[in-house]
Amino acid sequence: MNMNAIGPNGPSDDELLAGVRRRMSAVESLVPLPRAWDGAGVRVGSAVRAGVRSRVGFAGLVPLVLVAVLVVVAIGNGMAGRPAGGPSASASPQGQTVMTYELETPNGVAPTSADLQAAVTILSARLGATGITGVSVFAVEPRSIEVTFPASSNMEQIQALVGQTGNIEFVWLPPAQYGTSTEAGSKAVPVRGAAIDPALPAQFSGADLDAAQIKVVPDVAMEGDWAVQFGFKDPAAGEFETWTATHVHEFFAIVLDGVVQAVPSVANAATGGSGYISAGYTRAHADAIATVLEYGALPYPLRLVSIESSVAVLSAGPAGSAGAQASFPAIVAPSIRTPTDIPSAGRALGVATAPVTLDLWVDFQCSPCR
Amino acid sequence: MVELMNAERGTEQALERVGDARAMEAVDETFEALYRQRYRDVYRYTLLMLRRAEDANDVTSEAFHRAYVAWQSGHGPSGQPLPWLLLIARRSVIDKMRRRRLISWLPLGRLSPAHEPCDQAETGRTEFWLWFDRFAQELPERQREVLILRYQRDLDNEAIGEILGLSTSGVSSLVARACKTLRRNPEIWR
Repeated sequence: MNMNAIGPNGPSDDELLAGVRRRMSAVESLVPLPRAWDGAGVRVGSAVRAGVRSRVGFAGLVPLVLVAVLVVVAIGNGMAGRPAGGPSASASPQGQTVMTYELETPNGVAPTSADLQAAVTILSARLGATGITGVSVFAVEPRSIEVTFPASSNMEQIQALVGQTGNIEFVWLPPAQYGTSTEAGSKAVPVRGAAIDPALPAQFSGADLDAAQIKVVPDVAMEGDWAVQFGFKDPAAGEFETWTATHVHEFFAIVLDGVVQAVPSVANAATGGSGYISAGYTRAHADAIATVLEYGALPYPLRLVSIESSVAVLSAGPAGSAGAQASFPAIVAPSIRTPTDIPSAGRALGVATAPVTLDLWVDFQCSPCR
Repeated sequence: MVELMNAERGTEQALERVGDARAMEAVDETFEALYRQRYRDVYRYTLLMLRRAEDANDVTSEAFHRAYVAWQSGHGPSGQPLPWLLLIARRSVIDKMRRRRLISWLPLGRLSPAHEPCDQAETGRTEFWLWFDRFAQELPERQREVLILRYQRDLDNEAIGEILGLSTSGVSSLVARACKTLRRNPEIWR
């Protein structure tokens, strides 16, 4: 059956399944974070470890024991091979990237578990609403969130979804300073990408938006570009209509995470309490912003701490040589860590606006040596 | 001489134990990473299948315990870990359902006339369960389960088939039948 078939009287299968997925994503708020690994199934292992500690305490055996450990581990991993399907590094997902973020709370106070969970829920919902596969989000107490995904995934797309706080504001630009669409003011109207003057108060925020009305639509102002349509929920819809009726020709800035996205002027009263953000977006960028707005803002901004990739680069010996493949262990995973310090404005736009320090060290090792 | 041999044997035994312990620690660390990464995925599946948080807690813990025992004994996943975990969880879910003989379920156990949702989050939860109740009424169990598994973006038809014991075409057919049901009930997907 063609999954994209559109029936004579109804939606395609893809539309049906997307609708179910959207409704089902509400379950994310009911799914808790994993409890600490309490070793419920580790009783056997614990007993063994206890026995070993008492032996190691016998000073005369220590050097011998250490040497022997290396030998046993090397033989165990390299020569004997791993049991098929057994618990080993090979059973863990290969070729993964792990991005670690930290919640940036005011004064560095640790976020509550509820905030951490809320952030995980929102990020899971954002990522779950897209077509990205294999992504998982989990919290690491006290303030970190790890996003794991296959190395083959589009990291920029994931960063665009995860890195944004999603705090949208509609900021009025007073005509006494910024003028109107018919008369210039003493100050220049901020351009797209500029930081908004924090002294200007927001008239409306993302909390006033109706998630069901957020859509990506073709930009009527510029062919080929895409815009994000939004609508306010009650009572903000009525307030927005009243506000626009009393501020005709005046400018207001639509600001996402402190960065100006668009500066429309009010042509006339926005009946119905809706509008759209036209900022020359590509389809992918508009999709990311719509998704971020749909699932709400994170409780605190996120700071990217590190990106760690492990990529399987070589499976074994010479191709076609089964004997060689059996003899040589796999060479795996140069470990790449990239401590980053990218300002959130640059990250939000996908453009680094400051020098980025990239520390990269790679060591190729065969698996027993790691 | 005898004493020396005994001492050597004792050393060998100690070394074996140390080796075992190091290997066990490595197993623990790897499984713990998998647990942290996939706990929510397994919990979400068990919650949607059982529709009670207490049961989902129990069954998810049980599933990870079973998985850990299998992992320790060298019977870990041969491919991707998630379908393997969900297959184990599914067996626990079926056991649980058999035990409690789930005939019908009311989503608003706590919502008596005297109990109104007290905040927005609770309203959201109630709305979700009301929707899910309708979803469960309209879709037969197999169709419902395949859509729950499809919600996991990581799972393709092959992986879902592995969990449900179906071929890839069997999964496609089940999805097609679910879509047919959904088409008759627009309130479920709109």
